[in-house]
Amino acid sequence: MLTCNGTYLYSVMEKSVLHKADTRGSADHGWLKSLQTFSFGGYYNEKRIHFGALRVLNDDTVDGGKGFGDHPHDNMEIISIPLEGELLHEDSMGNKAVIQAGEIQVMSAGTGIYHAEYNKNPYLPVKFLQIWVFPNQRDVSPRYDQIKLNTLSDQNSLQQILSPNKDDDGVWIYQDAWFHMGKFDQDNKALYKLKKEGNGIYFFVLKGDLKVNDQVLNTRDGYGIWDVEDALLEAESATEFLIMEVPMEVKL
Amino acid sequence: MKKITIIAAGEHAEIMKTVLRLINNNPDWEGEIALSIEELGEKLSNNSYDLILLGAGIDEVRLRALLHDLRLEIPVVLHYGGGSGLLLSEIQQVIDRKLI
Repeated sequence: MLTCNGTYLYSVMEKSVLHKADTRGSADHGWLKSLQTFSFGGYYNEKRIHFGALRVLNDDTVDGGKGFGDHPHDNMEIISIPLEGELLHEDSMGNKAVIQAGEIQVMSAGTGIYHAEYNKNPYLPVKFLQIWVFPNQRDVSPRYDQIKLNTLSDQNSLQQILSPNKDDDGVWIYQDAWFHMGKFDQDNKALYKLKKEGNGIYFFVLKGDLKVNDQVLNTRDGYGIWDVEDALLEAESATEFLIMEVPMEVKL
Repeated sequence: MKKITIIAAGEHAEIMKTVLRLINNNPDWEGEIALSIEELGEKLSNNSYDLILLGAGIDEVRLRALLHDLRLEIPVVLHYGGGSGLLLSEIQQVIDRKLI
């Protein structure tokens, strides 16, 4: 909260978890190198299963021409954010699309889908974030969407890229979650205000150095806070980052 | 060591086949699948399982009622994702909590 004289105070009751970049799990399948903030595949850490409804945050690099062959999913909201290169998407709903940096892709797996994701470029790697969020209802009809983000107009401000609302900015999912991206020059600040009481906020720094309240984060660090109403963000250097606000209570 | 026996229930046959293959890939686990609540009830009546993995399409309330009727107390894990990503964690968490 901001006091009347402009000093920023944050609750001493704030609860937090810090995931430094070099403490993430990793998998090297040759064609795929994956750095995993939470337990995934063969990486299991009982202290890192999820942050509320945020279940998967994989930082993936796929070699040129390679990719994930046809494979199934159900009951999960799956968001892909390309950082470099182009991904070729095909799914059992008949969608065929290319997604590239500056875009976001979402799938509600619901009752079940098959999909494949390949690096479109035969030579250069594709880098992307693979994010899974627990849905707030099971067995919904599967759906796919992708949109282009408005990357040019949002320097030094937060851009909403995902919400629970079909008519709101960004893509939407079956969960009371809001994602924002930020690309800030050094010393720029912003106050992120919680969208829904009881949610937590997870920050992931794509590049540069970002201070969240008193916690400095570096490239690829993750930091979750909950029992808060807002968070003060300050760019310690030119930085790009992702903010994921998610419910902290999930039914497992 | 006795294998952990898991019955995975879900209506999507292809996904359940994948889940079954993934379960049986683990040398410490032994899996079966049921594609409907009726098939699940039949298998639960005739066999013993350590864990139920609940996939898409099977109603949890009906499953709880079924377990009550059969007087069975088996941990039920809601399975998410439909593939290999979360399977190890979902099962390992139950083992770590000493629920089986």
